[in-house]
This record gives sequence, structure tokens and C-alpha cells, in this order.
Amino acid sequence: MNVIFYLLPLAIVLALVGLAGFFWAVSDGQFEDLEGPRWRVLFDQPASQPERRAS
Amino acid sequence: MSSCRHCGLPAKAEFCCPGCESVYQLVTSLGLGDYYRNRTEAPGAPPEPVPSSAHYDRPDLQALYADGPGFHLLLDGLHCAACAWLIEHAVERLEGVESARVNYATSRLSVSGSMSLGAVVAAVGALGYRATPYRPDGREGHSDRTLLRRMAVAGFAAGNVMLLAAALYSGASQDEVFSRLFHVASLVLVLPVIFYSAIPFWQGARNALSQRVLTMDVPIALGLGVTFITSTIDTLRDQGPVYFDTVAMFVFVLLIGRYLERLARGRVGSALERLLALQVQIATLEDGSEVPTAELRPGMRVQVGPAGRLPADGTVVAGQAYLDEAMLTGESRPRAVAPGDRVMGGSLDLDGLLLVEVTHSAAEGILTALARRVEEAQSRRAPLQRLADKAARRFLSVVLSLSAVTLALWMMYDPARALEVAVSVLIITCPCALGLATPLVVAVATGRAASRGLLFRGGEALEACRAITTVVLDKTGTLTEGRLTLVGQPDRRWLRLAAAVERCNPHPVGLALLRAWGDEPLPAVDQLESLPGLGVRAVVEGRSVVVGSPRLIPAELESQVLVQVDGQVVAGYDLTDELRPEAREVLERMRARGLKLILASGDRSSNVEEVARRLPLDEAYGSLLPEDKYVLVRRLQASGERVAMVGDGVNDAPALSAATLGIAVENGTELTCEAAGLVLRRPGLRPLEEAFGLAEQAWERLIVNLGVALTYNCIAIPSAMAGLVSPLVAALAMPVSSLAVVLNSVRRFR
Repeated sequence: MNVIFYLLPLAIVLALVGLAGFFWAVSDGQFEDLEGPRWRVLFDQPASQPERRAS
Repeated sequence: MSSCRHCGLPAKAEFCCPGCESVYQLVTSLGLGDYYRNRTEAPGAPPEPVPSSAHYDRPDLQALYADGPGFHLLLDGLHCAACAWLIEHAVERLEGVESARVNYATSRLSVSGSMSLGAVVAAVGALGYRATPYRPDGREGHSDRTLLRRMAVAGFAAGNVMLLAAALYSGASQDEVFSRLFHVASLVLVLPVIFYSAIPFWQGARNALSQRVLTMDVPIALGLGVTFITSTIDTLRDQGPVYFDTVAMFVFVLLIGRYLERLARGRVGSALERLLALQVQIATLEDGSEVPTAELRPGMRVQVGPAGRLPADGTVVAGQAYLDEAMLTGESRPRAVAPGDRVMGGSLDLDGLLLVEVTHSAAEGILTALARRVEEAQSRRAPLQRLADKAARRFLSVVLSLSAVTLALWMMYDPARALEVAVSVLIITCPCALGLATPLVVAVATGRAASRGLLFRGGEALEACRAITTVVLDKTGTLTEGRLTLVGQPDRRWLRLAAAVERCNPHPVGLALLRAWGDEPLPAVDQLESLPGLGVRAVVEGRSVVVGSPRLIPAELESQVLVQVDGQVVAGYDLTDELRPEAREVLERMRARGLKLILASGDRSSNVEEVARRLPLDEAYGSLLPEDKYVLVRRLQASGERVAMVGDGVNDAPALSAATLGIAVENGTELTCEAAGLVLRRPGLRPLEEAFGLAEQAWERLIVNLGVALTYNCIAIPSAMAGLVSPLVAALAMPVSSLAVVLNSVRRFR
């Protein structure tokens, strides 16, 4: 048999893995806010993490 | 002159006011001083006084808003991404908070942890933003996620099917085994596209047909259905042309268009949900006990103090105060109320303590009635017949009749190929470019508009903007600045004393006096005493100064505000809400475009006539109730006009939602923005003009797109009728037409 008979399903399975990853990202809410994250990376974490403020 | 370190307004010292100073201190003490380095825009206004949030700690209110171990809040006052960062980090420092996430795109905060709701509201309030809890609608965001999943499935299938198709076109089809295998594999891959990804098109077409109208979905569904069914039959028979690659790509590209259009629309909650932001949650009864506003009944008596909002409609029983009703009536001048006067829920008490007998429960009050009206008008508004849908109708009839003609002609000439050729006509005309033409232009134009502070709510608003024939304008806050200024040039000697007395008064009249005075230093005041509903009294430089209404200071001067020094009336001031400087110019240009301009205001008729004399208006109406504005808009529509309503107050909301296009101007309330199809985030009237210009450009581009789609079909249909179209030709021709549409859409806007 030709190698294509193995490779074709394999390629599709690999693509399905990618698709599953995308589904997970959608369920995780990663596409909810397309504006904030691109700014978020530019801001440093606060330098000091002082003791928690009592509410 | 330096500028305030927090809000960026001109200030004499480091800070313009104690409010800004305390926010700055808080931010730096939290170790979040980076905010000031990172922000791209200063707030431009001092923070509002922080309202009490203690009532949010009541178990009944906490339980109302709890969502698992956390809460969702709507944020007000976000102006750049650094704000989101600041709020997240400040809230995360609170005791018990596990995570805080700000969605910058929708101005929402989600907090989870064991903290109390009141603590979160207070922490955000202390930073100068306003947070209002809301109950998330379960369906919110759900349809966006589903659309993304459909898109992903279509993309996955399209990629794989095209790979197989490329192999077939480049020679694999010669080999019988490979040809069979690849065709069957393509069929399997296309199944989820047809039965999952393409569901919106099937549903759209079914809805359209059941309502006996033709929308863009109908030709799309027809093309998809015919292509899929004939290709499946041909695959199973193992002969004839197979178009699976075209089907998958077609669905994928159309879904991308849909998604872009959805992004342009933004997320919309219900008007009633937004209303919660205006409503007081807790009312204080006469005896000092607190009850949720929802439990107020007619006959109950509630107390309202300075800076508090009235929880319900009622009648004043005791006390005097100035009420700010701008949000409800559009009147910028505060109204003095005394026992016996009727007051509206949602008005802001500026200075005095009032005892109010409730006449309507919250559910029957004016605010709720307005919100109901908005929802009703939104559901009754006849949707604008969109250009793409009009095109779809013509297109479909032409394509169907051409297919029939093709079938008939080929029956005479070569009956064996007749059906195949007729189907290829249907397939090649599959309106890919037509389906993309509108979504792409809408996405690009609204994105471009948003970066200029003009927020269009989807393509309907954009198309409506161009079709407008009449513009109805609100006065206060739209044509005018929405704040009081002094008339004329007052004597600085007395103004200095009056401004000093008013310095600590949050009253619009006091602010007007302070603005008239300017930035020069003011003398110190002693024995300051506020006389609710009447004025202010104090001792300045050893002299007794009273500033107040004619009811407080009887005088022969006919002025709205009088100044008395050592028992002598020395000055009288009149206040007015100034017209925006550009108003005349902009209105003249809009009139030159052929628009009919109508002024509709809740303000007194005399004030409205004054404005109408100074501006190029066709008609002007004063003393209108919210209901009257709504009726005016509907009457104009009934006489065949396409009406745009421009306004900012809650009182404009019903008219905004009834209008063909509702336009909410800067600092409009949540409910107003909700009712509007276009929100202008920049002050003044120029953005209004820009929006009309942008809509015009978008329209031109849409026409070009439809032209491209038409040209493509003029070439493709005759070729298909001649029997020249093979799956390879279809696979090449469709992307080319789509690409032309894409390129035309993403060209820069002027």
C-alpha cells in the first residue's frame, strides 16, 4: 500500500489537535478581549508587592 | 501654570483639588505609580466624590449579584489601557481577592474570591472610577464563541480540502485509486462545514423565507446547497465535477466576514440591565432604617442627603434643596424644591436634606418607564432595508432565470451535460464577493471611526447615517456646552468675594462663578454655611457675604443669583448655558448637505427660541417631555423622513431608539448610549459631521464592492453557460473576486 494511506489520516489527526487547541482557547475566554492584552504586555508588574491592604 | 499630576487639568499647585491628590496618594502608596508613566491619556476631570458603598455589603444585595465566588461590575471612566491595569492591581491587593480581570473592550471587571462586594466598589471608587455591579446575562458572549468555533472548523476543513484539491488538480485525478480516496476524504472533511459551520446561513435563509423576504443568506444557502448536493452525488457515482474545495473556502471566508462585522457591532446588554447603574440600590427611611429600593411602596417616606440620588418618584414633605435633574430632563440649571414639590427618582440632591414621600414604587417610576419605552421602541423599529439585501433579491432572480435558460439551451444541444452545466452556473455565481462586500466595509469603516471616537453600532447604523434626511437635535449638552456660564462681564471686586464663598460648593452655579473668576488666588473664608435650596453664606476678609437666589435675598435686581455684602445687595448675575462655538458653522454645512434641522428640547420655550434665533434651524420646539420627543420622531418618520436624533440625556433615550439612527453625544449616560446606534466619544458637533462624512465614504466603497462582484459575475456567468467552468476554474476565480473586494475595503479612509 502507498504511504499516502497512512499520511492522509495522520495529517488530519494533527490538524484536529490544532483545532482542539483553538476550541480550548475559545472556551477559556481568550477571544473575549482583543484590546486589553496587547497593552497589558507593555506594563510591568508593580515593582513592590506591599502587604495586602485590609478592606 | 502647571497641570494637575492626576487629572492633567491646569492647576496652580501639584494638584487641582483634594480629590485628585487623594487618588494620587492612594495609587503611589499601593506601589502602582507606574500608572502615571504608562497611561496614554489623563482623565481630564477630577474624580467624582466617592459615594458610599457600604450598602453593597448587605447580604441581600451581595446575594443578588454573586456569581459563584465572585462578582461582575460595569466600570465607568476607563480612558486608556493603563486604567485597566491600575484597577486590576489595586483590586487584587484587597483582602480575599483571588483574581481580578478587567475586560478593556467592554469596560467590565470580573472579581473572584471571598471579598465583599462593597470592598470592591469602594476600592475602585477610591481610584476615581465608578463600578456598578450587574448580573451577567448567561447568553452574553455565547454566540461570539460559537461563531469562532464555526469559523475554526471551516478553516480546518478548507485547509485540508484545498490541499487534497491541489493534489487532484496537479495530476492525482489521473490515478483512479487516489482520485477516489481524495474525493471521499474531501467529502468527509466538508461534512462538518455543511452541518456545523454553515448553520448560520441555513438559519438565516430559513428565517428570511418564512418571513417572505430575500436576504443575502438566501443566495448563499442556495449556492452552498446545490454545490454540496451535486458534488456529493458525483463523488458517490465517481464521475463528474466535484467542488468541495470551493464549498469549504466559501463558508470559511463568509464566516470571517461575519465575525468582523460582529466585532464592529460591540457587545450590547439590555436597556433594563444598564438602568441598574442609575438606580439607587438602598433607600433610607424616615426612621433611619434602610430597605432595598425595590421594596419601596407608595406612602413610605425616604430621606435623601447632599450628593445622594432620589431612590423613587415622590413628593417633598420636608426640607429644601437644589436638585440636578439634567440626566432626566436635559435642563442644566438646578431646580430648587421645597415641601409640596414633586420630584423624580434618579435626580441628584445637590445640597439639602430632603424627606420625600414615595408616590410610585421603583418598578412604576419614571426611570423604569423610560427604559421600557427604549426597549419597546427598539423592538418596533423597522430595520433599514440594507443595500446588500436589495442586491441579493435582484441577483437571485437573475441567476435562477439564467440557470433555467442554460438548462433549456443545453437540453437542445447536449442533453447529457445539460444539468451539469446549469448547476455550474449556480456554483460559479455563489455570491462570495457579494457576501463579503458589506461586512468588510462595515468592519473597516467602523474600526476607522472608533479610532476617531465615533462608535457605530454595526452596519445598520453606518448605512442609516447616509440615508438620513432630517436631524433632530437636543439643546442641552448637544448644541450647548451643558454647563452654566456667567452672562456678561461682572465687576471683579464682587465676583472675587462671591467666588470665594462658592469655592467649596459643588453646585453648578458655584462652578460657573469660579470659572468666571479664573485661576487667580481667592481669599480664605470663615463660618461657611450652606443654606440648602437657597444659597451660601460666609465671612470673607471680615465682611459677611451671602450668595443665593432671589428667594434668599430680596432685591430689585432681576437676576438669578444675587450677592449681598454686609447687608447690601451689590451684584446680580445671570447664568446661561453657552452655545458651542462651532455650532453655527457645523449646522450650516449640514444644512448645505440638504439635511433638515429640528431643535427639540425639554428646556423652557423662551430659551429654545433664543437659541433658534442664533442658529440656522428649520424648526424648534421647547418644553418637550421625553414622550413628546418620541412622538415628534415618529411623526416625522410617518411623513416619510428618515430621522437622526442627537441627544445626551436619559430623557432623549426613547426618541433615540425610535429614530432611524440614534446618536448619543459625549458624556451621555449608559442608557442613552444603549439606545443609540452611534455614540460620539468626543465633545462638540464636529464629530457629528465627521460621522456623516465617513458614512458617505463607506457607502461609496460599498458600491464599488458590489460593482466588483457584479463584474466578476458578468464574466463568470457567460463562461459557465458556455460550459467552460471546471472545478479548477471555480477554485481560482472565486478567490480572485473576493480578493478584489478585500483590497477595495481596506484602502485608507480619508
